[in-house]
Amino acid sequence: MAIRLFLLLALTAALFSCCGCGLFDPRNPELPGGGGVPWIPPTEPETLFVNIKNAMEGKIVANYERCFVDTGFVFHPDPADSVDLLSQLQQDVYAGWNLDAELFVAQRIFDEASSLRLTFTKRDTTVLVSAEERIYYYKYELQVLFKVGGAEIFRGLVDYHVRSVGGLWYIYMWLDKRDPDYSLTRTWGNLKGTKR
Amino acid sequence: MDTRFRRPPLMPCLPRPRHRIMFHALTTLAALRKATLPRALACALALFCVSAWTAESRAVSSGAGSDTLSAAERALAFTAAAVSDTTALADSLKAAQDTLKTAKSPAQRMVDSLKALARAEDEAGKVWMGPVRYSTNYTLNRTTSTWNQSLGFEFSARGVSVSTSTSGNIYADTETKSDRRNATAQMAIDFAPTERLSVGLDINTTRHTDKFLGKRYDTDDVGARASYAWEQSKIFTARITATAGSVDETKPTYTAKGTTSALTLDSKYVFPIPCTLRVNASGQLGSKRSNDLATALRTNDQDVNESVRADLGFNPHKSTSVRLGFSRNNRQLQYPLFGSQETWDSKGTLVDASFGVNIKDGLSLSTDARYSDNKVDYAAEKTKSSSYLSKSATTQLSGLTLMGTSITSRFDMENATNVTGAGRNGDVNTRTLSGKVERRLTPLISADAIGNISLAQYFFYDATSIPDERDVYKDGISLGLKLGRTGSRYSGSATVKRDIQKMIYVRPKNSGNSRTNELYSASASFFYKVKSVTFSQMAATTTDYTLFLFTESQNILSRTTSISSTIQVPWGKSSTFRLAHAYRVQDNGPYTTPAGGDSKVYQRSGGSVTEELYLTAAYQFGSDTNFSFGQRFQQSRTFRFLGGRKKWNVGGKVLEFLSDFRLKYALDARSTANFTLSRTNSAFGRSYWNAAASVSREFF
Repeated sequence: MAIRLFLLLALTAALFSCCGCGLFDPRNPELPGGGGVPWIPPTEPETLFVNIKNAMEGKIVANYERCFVDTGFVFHPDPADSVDLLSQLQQDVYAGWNLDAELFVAQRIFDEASSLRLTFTKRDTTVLVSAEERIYYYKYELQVLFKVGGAEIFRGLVDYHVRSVGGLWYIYMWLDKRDPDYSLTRTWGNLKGTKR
Repeated sequence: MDTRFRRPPLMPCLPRPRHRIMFHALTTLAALRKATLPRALACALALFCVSAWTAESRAVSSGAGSDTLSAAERALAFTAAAVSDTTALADSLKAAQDTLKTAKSPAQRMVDSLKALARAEDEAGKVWMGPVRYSTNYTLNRTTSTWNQSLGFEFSARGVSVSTSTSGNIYADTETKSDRRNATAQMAIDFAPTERLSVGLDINTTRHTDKFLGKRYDTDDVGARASYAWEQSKIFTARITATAGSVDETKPTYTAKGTTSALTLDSKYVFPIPCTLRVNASGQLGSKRSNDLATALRTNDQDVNESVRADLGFNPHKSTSVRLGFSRNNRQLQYPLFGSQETWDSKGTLVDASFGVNIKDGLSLSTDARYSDNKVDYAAEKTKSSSYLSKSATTQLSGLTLMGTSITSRFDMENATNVTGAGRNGDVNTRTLSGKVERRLTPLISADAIGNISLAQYFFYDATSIPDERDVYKDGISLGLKLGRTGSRYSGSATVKRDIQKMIYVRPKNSGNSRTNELYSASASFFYKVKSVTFSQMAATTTDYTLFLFTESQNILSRTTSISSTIQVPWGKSSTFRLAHAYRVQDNGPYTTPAGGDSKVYQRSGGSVTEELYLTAAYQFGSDTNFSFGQRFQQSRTFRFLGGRKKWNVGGKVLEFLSDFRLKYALDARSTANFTLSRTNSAFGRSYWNAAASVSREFF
């Protein structure tokens, strides 16, 4: 009993000292020097795609991160990309693709690009999986002007599976597909795979 | 229309299950190269004979199948499964993509073969043959269809064991005009001349064809292996395994031929004192001669993989444990890449230590520390090079109970340094503190409180060109109350929660994005069961504030309320009805200070209403067949406020009506069949079919 009481007191003291000593205090931001990148709370699922576009074009990985669920996010590339990159790079670059991998690759793309332009075009009606889950079908065009190597346009189709958590919407599954009208054009998923 | 695209063949309607299975097996195996066709025919012949031989026993076992669940309970369970399976269809694509990754590792194959040998030993040297397993499944999901098949069996005789498996997959997508076929075949032969020595042979072939893009990916590899186990005493045991083989690859951009070899050591030493040392070491060397088809570049590609892992465990006292670990791995891989040879070099070191002590009656304290250093270098694509140095520690206290209250607490921290070839060099420091307090108030009521606080800080050495320096702060607390016990007639729960997240961008270029999110929620649920009728309901309300530090005009407030109810009613002994209803309403708008005001005010500007009604009926035939039929109505509408009046948005409406049929049939104890068919009619969009069928069968 005495040991437990001592441990409880020690734990309580440690908790208060940790929280009070500034260990968890964030820094103060400097006054804004630019317009910033818009962020809209995703109370409606369609807002997610506006935020992804803004985060990509503004190269703000933290805003990009907030479009996805914290745990359980998966990305499925087009099967052709999966097999292509496995043979090209001798590694299964898409294996275990979770949110960490998504953010790592997004950051790498942001670093290597001097500018990005992203457009989404709805290609099919939304599927209501349930009141809290939906599937959105888009065509996309991602224009990347690389710092080294010129510009390239990536085209394809994307199925976004979204889920509502605590009143806000997040992407939990991303299926990337080739656009049959541009079968020789690289997809966004292919770009992501080569940057992992 | 592109003539290269063809829909995959639908499953043929052959009259007798045995013939249908044989047809699938032959189709799969015939998809392989001609070299494997004789084996396919032999397998099919064996399948047919075995199937005929076991027909009688199958009928007996089917009739004798005992079932402890009542028909109504099974129907209930099936209904619930039918509803939860709705989203599973969306995952069908993954099966197609993962087909090439399903091959067993050589080590796993060897373990399987040795198990087969062990079973043969049990039969006192008699010939032993395992069951022949066959499975097939077909999935149609809106525009994609996938057909998978697999067949495998194993047998052993006189110290020799053989295991073989083949699989095939056809994937098609009418939207992307995809038509891809995969086929794999594996065979492992093992021979154990003594108890300690075993030798084996592995043969693997993989074929992948992309008919739309006109690409082929073929891989053949053949390998031999030998494994020797020492067990000099209980103090020292070791196993050493050596393998050697050849590989032949044909890919769209290059062809390659070469050799592979590997040496693995797994040893364990138990000291006379309470201490254990375990050492694992392995080395692999591969060499291929590659020919880049586009540039005719010929390269000699090496694949070197070395790793060593040592663990020293020490138990000075029954309740105390100390462990020290060290591992080092090095991988160098070369391959042709766009007309040059790429060399990928990865080096990793990990040192970790842990200490744990069980103080008394489940009260335990554990702590561990890790140091890791990982470097990856690319010779050609230098910007992909990176290094990551991390130092982290964790301390956890659990099982602390005081006057009926149990407390657990955990603290994590990590300091990492990241250097990349693109110049994004910096530090990431994270720390997290979490705790949970639980107390049982009465035998039926328990309460808990969960709290956590964390901070992640991102620093960059070149802060002028990289304006991403930021801090992410989170804290949250939730209080919960639970009523009832597992298996009781009623149960319920209530939770209130508050979460705060601060996203602070430090540098001026991005600091305008700095914001705080405050989320407050309350939810309650309950479950009630009267005889066989069950009723459950859940309600939740959430308020989310997004407050920008510098631009209040961007502040937004969102409110969401949802309620869902489900009732399940059995009808007779074999039928069940299930009715589920869900309603969700959400509104949002600016949360700003009006001109002349002194506090922030919420001004509703828009929102949405979603409603779902799902009725399912399930019926159980005997003990082995059940089916369900369901109809679902879903509607989602968006609105906005104009001049204080609600206006429904034109085009912001989705209305769907779904009908589904599910059938599950147990042929016997070792064979099952599942069929699902659903049709979704959309009032404002494209209607579509979803379907799934699967059959699995064990012969012998």
